[in-house]
Amino acid sequence: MSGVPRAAVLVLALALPACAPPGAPEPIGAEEPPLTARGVTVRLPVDGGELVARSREATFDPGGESLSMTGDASVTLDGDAFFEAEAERITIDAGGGAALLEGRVRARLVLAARDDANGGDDG
Amino acid sequence: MAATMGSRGPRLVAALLAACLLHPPAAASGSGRPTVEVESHSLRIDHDHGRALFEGDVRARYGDISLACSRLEVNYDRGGAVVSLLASGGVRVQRGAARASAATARLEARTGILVLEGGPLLRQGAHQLEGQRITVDLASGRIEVTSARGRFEVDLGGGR
Repeated sequence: MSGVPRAAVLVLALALPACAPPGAPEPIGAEEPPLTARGVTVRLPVDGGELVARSREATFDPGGESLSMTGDASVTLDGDAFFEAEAERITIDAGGGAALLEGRVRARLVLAARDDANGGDDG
Repeated sequence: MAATMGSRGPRLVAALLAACLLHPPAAASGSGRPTVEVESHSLRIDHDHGRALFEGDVRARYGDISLACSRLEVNYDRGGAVVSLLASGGVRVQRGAARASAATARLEARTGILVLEGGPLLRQGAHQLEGQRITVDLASGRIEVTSARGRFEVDLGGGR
């Protein structure tokens, strides 16, 4: 299992029951079809927090290196959602904490509080 | 009447522009922390480095300040907050009737300091102020211009 990306594991765990093939044996030598899922939530542990991506549909590329998410796709960083974004499609790098959002990107960012609001001496 | 100032520090124009452009933005999250809304063609998140890059017709809104540029880099910390924003590529900032343009604009969230560089120009109506670098304290409205040059219109009271 060591070669399976983290995101793959998570998506399979959360969404595979809705999309698993009926179990027919694959033809020998045939290329694997892309794995698709619906109603997907990906929780990707990242340094210092968690990247959560959601969409109506998602497709793994044949190599399993990335996950393409479409349909009300959104990304949230960490539990307090200081960084939220939505787009037409999101590509998640399954091996790390990287994501590419494309098409009508809209994001909401929460800025760090000013130092003087926390007792600083700027007056 | 139009007057052009040299490098001695156009305080009047700075004060006029600062009064219109620069006071604490109003937008805030539910937690009371300020928020920025951003739209763009693409966004690349590199969480390992705490960085997000918006590209393509980037438009951001911070309270009643609006910003347009071609590229906006956002840096955030592990504590869950955006600490800096770096806009580049035809940066335009607007607040009410006051407008600013520059090659780059950098906002440090923890200090509330906005730095415009690369031919920065502040303009309101016929008044304008330019320099090598324009540094703005968004909370206090203090503005510092290096190598300042300004142009402004004054009424000398000569009306009949």
